[in-house]
Amino acid sequence: MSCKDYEISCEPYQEMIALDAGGDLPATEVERLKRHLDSCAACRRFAGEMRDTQRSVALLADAPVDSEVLAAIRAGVLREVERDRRRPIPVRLPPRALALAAALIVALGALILLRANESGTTEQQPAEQPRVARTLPAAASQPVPPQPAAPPLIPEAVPAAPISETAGEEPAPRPPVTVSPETRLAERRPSVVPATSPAVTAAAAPPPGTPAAEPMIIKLVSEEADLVIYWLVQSPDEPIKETTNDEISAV
Amino acid sequence: MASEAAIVVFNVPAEVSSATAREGFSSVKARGSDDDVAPKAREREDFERLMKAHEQRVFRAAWRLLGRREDAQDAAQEVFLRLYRYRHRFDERRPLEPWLYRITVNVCRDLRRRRRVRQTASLEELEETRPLVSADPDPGAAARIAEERRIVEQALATLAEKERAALVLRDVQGLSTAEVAEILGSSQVTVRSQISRARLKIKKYRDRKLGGSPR
Repeated sequence: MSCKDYEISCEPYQEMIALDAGGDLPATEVERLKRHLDSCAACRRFAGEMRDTQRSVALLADAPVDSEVLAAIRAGVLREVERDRRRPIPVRLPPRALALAAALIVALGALILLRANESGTTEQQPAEQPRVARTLPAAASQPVPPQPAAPPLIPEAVPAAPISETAGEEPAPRPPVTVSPETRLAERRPSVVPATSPAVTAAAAPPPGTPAAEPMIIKLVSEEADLVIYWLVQSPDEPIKETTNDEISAV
Repeated sequence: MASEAAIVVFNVPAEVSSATAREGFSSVKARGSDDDVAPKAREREDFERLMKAHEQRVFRAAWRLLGRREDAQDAAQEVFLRLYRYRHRFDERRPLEPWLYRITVNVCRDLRRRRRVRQTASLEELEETRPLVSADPDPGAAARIAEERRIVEQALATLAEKERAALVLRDVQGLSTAEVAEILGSSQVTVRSQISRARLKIKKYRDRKLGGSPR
């Protein structure tokens, strides 16, 4: 085969020569190339130059590398590795573990809140009195004496109205719950009310027909979009009120 | 106190040969404080030994892929850091070297993209590259070799990214076509085509510089 017009006819051989120079030409094509080179002087010269080029490229593999540069690389890496080790490892908890942890925190918080309220109200009277007045409308009309500095748990001025006095009346509905959780917890605190007082007993335990108090709903929003924790707190002496999804959603 | 946590350490023998270096890591259990050497200190030593075994290859590959020694230094450091940070992903049954080269190629690609403004070393910069001082007794031959290297470095800068990666791994690093294909995530046919084009371009550039017969 002649290579007089190698621009056209020898072009595919150039690619083969380039591959052959690095030993990448498949064995099936090596023979074909050899036959062509036997008959084409231009391609033989081209193949010779290609081998020279390959030798030049191979020189790059032997280029000396400064050992100080390599030592600097090593030192830099080890420094970073050490820094990595000192960095705290971020812990990614599964959603269930997060939910459990959140529930525990809420439970602990609620317990602390309850205890704090208990101890706080034994020392000073919180917003307990208005509820007594509301519950006992007959007694509310009577004059209320000035409050002592440290009022007793059961205000003496509030007459101990017999249960029968309020039993026949229409029970006063509880005001809508717009108070803060702390106030509401204090309101429902049963332990500060001695069971021996009939008046307070009447106030603490709502008469029959009184709608059940709404439970306090605490909403916890986690980083997980699908995970919202609702914590319902309700006094054990109150009738359990069903809380609907709408009520929860409204929180 | 004995720790039960499983950690991966680099287990390279003290006398690292090329063959043993290819073995890479091994996974072991962290042993207790009754060991002669604390696990962390031993891990550090093993990792340092592993770096010594591979640093020349990694640095050279990065140097040829980026064209600049300063960039190659940054790249090599990043390669070994990634190697350390992602060591738990390494499949111990496979040789380390292809994985290491894959990291190198990725790091160089990332580095080049981050420094897009600078690009790889320009031809003008390469023209000014000072040849490395050689201890060759024949200064004439050393100068010729340095000149040849400089021309090829310049020619490499003219190649497309993939052609350059294929050629560097095959002709400079001496990997097989199959290994190059695996590292680059291409087929062997594609790699052969890239290598062929790259060699022809380098020849053309070299011929022009040396006054040969560019065809």
